Amino acid sequence: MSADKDEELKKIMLVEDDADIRTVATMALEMVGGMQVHAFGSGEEAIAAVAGLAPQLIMLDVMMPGMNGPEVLVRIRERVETADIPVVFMTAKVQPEEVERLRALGVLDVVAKPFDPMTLADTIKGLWAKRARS
Amino acid sequence: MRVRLSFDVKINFILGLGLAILVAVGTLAYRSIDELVDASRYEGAALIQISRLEAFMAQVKRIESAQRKYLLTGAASDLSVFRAARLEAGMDIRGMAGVIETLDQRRILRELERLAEERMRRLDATADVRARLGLDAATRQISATAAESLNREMDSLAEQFRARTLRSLRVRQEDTTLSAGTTGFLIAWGIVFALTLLVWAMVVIHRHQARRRAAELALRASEMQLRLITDAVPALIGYADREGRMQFHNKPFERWLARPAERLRGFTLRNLLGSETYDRIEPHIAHVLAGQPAQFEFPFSSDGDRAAHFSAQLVPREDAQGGVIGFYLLITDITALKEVDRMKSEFVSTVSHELRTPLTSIRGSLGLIAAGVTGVLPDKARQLVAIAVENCERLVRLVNDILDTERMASGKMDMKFEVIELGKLVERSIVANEGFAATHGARVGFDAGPQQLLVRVDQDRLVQVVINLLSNACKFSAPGGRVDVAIIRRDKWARLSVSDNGPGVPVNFRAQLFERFARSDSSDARRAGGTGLGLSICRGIIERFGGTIAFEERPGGGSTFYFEIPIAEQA
Repeated sequence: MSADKDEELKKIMLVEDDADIRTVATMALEMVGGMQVHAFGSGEEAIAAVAGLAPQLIMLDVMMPGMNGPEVLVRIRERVETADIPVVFMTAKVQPEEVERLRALGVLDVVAKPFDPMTLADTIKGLWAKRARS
Repeated sequence: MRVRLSFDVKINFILGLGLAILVAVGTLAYRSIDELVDASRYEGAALIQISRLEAFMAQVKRIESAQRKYLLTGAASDLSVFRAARLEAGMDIRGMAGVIETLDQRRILRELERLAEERMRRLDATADVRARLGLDAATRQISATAAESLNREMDSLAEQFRARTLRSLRVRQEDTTLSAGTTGFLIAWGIVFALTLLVWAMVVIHRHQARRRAAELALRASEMQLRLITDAVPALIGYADREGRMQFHNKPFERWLARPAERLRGFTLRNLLGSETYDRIEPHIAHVLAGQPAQFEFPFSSDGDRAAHFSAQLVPREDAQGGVIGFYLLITDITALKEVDRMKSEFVSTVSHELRTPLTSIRGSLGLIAAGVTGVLPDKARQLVAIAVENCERLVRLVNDILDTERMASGKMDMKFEVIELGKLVERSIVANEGFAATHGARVGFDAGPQQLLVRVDQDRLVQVVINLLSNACKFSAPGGRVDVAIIRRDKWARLSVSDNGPGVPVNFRAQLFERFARSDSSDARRAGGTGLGLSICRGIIERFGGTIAFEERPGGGSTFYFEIPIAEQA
């Protein structure tokens, strides 16, 4: 499923195994950014739901038990209906080479943890707008 | 103070003195022999004089006898004999003059000659009377002359001459005897002295040899000790010549290469390490042979199984003229260190990650609460949440700084170098720091300088440095204070300075200002909430750019932190 480039970013899928971060990120995006967030606690759950949910953008934690972020990304890209959904990785491993490695997988960008809850939504919207321009 | 002369000085002194004595003795001996020869020559001459005098006197007698015979016979043949003897007597007198030495002898001789001539003249006159007037007239002529007294006078002079010649000969012989005795005495003492010097020289040489033997023994003992130490050191120590042939090695070297000493010494490093390893380290060997120490790491497997990592230090050895004649090797097995380093990096990375996860929740929750997203807080609660937010930010910075520090220490901080305009980067950094400056009520002024300066840096890392200096200046400025940022060109260097009007850096803290976890004990610094790593990271980054970072007091109060980095060629 491909998102319309001129469309306003409203619907986000958040995949994060840490429940606390999941809660904080959801609140930051919804209450500060006014977005609709669908949060999932594992890669497997997210893959099962992504096609039906058809989010405009997926925020994907990198290190998760079971299926990790890059593996989830591969699975999403494998399916025609979800292959074009832009993905933003979230990671606590912020070493430059790690960030470069993740960007090279074809994601919009990498958001470092811990993030600022008051600017997270703007950051994501900025990436969305940048993608739309490109 | 007792001066101890060296062996060379002593032996040269002894040899010099001995040579001087030999020359003196030789000179004396030569002079003595010369005198003896002279004395002998003089004695011969004196005896010849006496002999000739006696011959002359005998000749006078023979002339007189020949004249008397002629007077008696009046024969022409007798006259001829007389005249021949007469001529011969004159020659003998002249011949004697050649061997006369003293004035006195010459005087006697001249007188004798005069008397002889007078006598001859009278003999001639009498012979002439005999020839002209006959025997009687000649007899009267003889009695009329005082021939007897003339003869006595001549005899007396001849005796005087003989006596004086013999006395002169005796004096000369006595002088020669005395001189020969003195010379003999001096030669004898010279020989004694020379023998003494010889004994002294032998003692000096013996002592020198004893000392040398002792030094050799000490050297051997020292070498043995050094050998024990180098063998006990848990590192490979060796020395190779210019051709890379091993000339010295310790025991661990043998164990490392699993070779006995005889299959190590004289073998080339290429032979010992194999071509693959040698090709890898060859540039470093070329470097050390050019006279520069070299340090590098390389993997090596001596048993072809377990690959180990080694650190090598090569130090050139130079001869007196400064030419490199070989190099020392110090090789240590750093496999375990590498593993520890890897584990440490992994540990820091893991801890950092594990800290970031809960920090994300805490920072997010506090941020939302503090911003009033979840509702308006009572004043006291807002104050407490603000404290929690501030300290949470500090914890995040600490985790980031620890990661940076570890990466810098392990050399894993990759840099993306590019040529950029320094002024623009500083402007961007000031904008990024605006919020922080506003929080501390600091006003930031920027003087970009008259010209654009290009530098070759990693942009993100230089921004990190500039923001660190800016945030420090803002934190330590007095409320409402001013922070001045300026760029100037200093020869081939671009200098960025950040000045504040804060309390300055305490004197006892200045030395460790750029060290890790350097924290001033002052309450102001504590209140500022730094991690103690920021300036250390700044220094590491600036040094990676080939620059320097430093601090100086600002006239009138406050501090100026500055760094200088090389100006890049036009891209």
